[in-house]
Amino acid sequence: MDFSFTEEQQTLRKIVREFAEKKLAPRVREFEEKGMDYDLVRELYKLGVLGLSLPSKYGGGDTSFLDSILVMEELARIDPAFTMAANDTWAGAVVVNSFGKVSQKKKYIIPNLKGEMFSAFATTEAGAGSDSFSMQTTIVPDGDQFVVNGSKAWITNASVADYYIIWGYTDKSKRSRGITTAILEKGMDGFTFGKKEELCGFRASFTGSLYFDNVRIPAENIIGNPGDGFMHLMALLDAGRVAMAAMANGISQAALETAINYVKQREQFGRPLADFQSIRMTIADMWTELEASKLLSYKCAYLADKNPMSEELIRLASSAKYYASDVAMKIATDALQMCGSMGYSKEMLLEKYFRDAKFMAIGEGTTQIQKLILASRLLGSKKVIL
Amino acid sequence: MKIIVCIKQVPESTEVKLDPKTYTLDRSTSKGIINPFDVNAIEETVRIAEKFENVETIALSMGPPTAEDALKEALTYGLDAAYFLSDKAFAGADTLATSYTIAKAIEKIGSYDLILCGKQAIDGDTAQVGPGLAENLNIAQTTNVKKIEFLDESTLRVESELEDGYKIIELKLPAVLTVTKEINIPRIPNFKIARLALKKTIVKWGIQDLDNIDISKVGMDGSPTNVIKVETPEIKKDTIYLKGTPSEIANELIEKLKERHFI
Repeated sequence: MDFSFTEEQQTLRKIVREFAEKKLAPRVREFEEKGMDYDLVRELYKLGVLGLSLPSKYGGGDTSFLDSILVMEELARIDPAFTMAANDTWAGAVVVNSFGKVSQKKKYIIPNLKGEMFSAFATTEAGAGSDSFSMQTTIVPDGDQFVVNGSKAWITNASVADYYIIWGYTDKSKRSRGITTAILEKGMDGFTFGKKEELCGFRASFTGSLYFDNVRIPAENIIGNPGDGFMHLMALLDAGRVAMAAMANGISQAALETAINYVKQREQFGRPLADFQSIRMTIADMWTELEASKLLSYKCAYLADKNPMSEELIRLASSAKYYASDVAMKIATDALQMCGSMGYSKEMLLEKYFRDAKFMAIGEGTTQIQKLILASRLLGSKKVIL
Repeated sequence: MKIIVCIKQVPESTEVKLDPKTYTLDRSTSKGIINPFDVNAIEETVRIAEKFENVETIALSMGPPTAEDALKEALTYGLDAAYFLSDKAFAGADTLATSYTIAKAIEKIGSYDLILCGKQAIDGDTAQVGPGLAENLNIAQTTNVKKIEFLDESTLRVESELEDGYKIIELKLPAVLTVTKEINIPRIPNFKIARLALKKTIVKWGIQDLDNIDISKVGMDGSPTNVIKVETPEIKKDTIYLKGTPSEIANELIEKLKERHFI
């Protein structure tokens, strides 16, 4: 077992940290208030740090999934909302790469990884969150075309992205075998967007609805075969959960660093806060929980590279996701508390980390859903040997 | 065209410890980084290589074994090759011995057109090695350069900073230029270029590898500079409380600032 990062991974981290601290950090408040500047995402593509796990023949880096996790952790340490939006700009390319035809890969992945085209990933609907079988969107054949009707909700990069990977029923009676994956492009007739949602945290990126009103797409825009969609979704879920864990860990790290630096210089009763035992105990807990959470996410990344469909990964991805979310909320809460009124004010970023951290327990499957998945895996079989 | 960019690894921390006996820098306690002015020199080298065809770019450094990391990092900006001078015989060199040794390495590398250095290192702040190189190599030099323009393949027009302006100088290659922070904003390295750079081999040279070298001119023995003592300046702060009405306080403040030549 080797816990060290390779020289290449250390270099990647250094590059992303330099970008995040120099280019992103000065604009975090501006992005929250006015929305983020997607040109900065294009800069990340130019630096060659997005889409790393995709094949180099399409502009990726042939790297491990862990490399992408490190990128997200570093970016989220500065701005998780920007991180999620940046990551989602190539989430569609992951779907196309895993299940698409070569012609689709050439058409979408190559310009995507040059930063010339952004993707979005759309499963959630107003009435279908974790319960994806309740989705109302339909993708039905009509001659040599398919017709899309319905809507999607809470979609990151809605209206910003150029192509959208969406899921809908081709045949609802077939349940999991009736769901189809399709590619929609911005500008198609009948494809429109809702307003930007006003959220508690994650305010920098554009989150909104997609509406499909008899959108006609060519058959070549179907990914895999009609009916394969649910299988695609299941195969991608774990990676999404690990990505959320990495972002949560980035938030935790930011909050912990802020708290440590503050308690060392803030004095009360004639000595720094860092001299008070209750603060010292809490700092130790925060650091330990963050390290444990990082190790969970790194192990998930390792498993995803080794065998993305393994039972061990399914269990651990749920664990890593909800544990990292809990830790982020706890660390953000404790860090804010240590900084008192300053922590509660917009002078510091802790109130933002606090709002952002809450989302980590909601997006990509709530904490409760993750626990149910894990419990069903642990209790569902007749005999489990751990 | 061949450009050699000379770099130095310096301690990252501003609270650098000095060896109490020799007054040389104790590098063991802080992380090493590339001297910030040298990063501007690297950036300028890469920009010239991007602008013209057939430009070969080489990074060169001298230092203890850990300083090899600075060259590794320099390569991530996209330079073609790196040479590292490291030998116990080179240790303790002052600027005279350092510039002599580096000049010998440049002679061994062979033909070159342009040598770029940062204007000074942030640890020693001498700004002497760049000019020392030009003297040893007997070629033209200009220091504190904030702009480089190629008039033709072998003629440069550069802007060299002065305290209250700049002078324009034309010079023929080969030449040594030392550059300031104003010359460019260094890029963040591209990861795909950086990962290729990590696979490159850095050429390591000791004293045995340099030709026609006078060993009495290198390292501690070749260094006539003796640092007698180094002291950290004491920072003194006096707080003066001004009393009176706001306009009286304002007038008094203006007088005090004038007295001290701040306004």
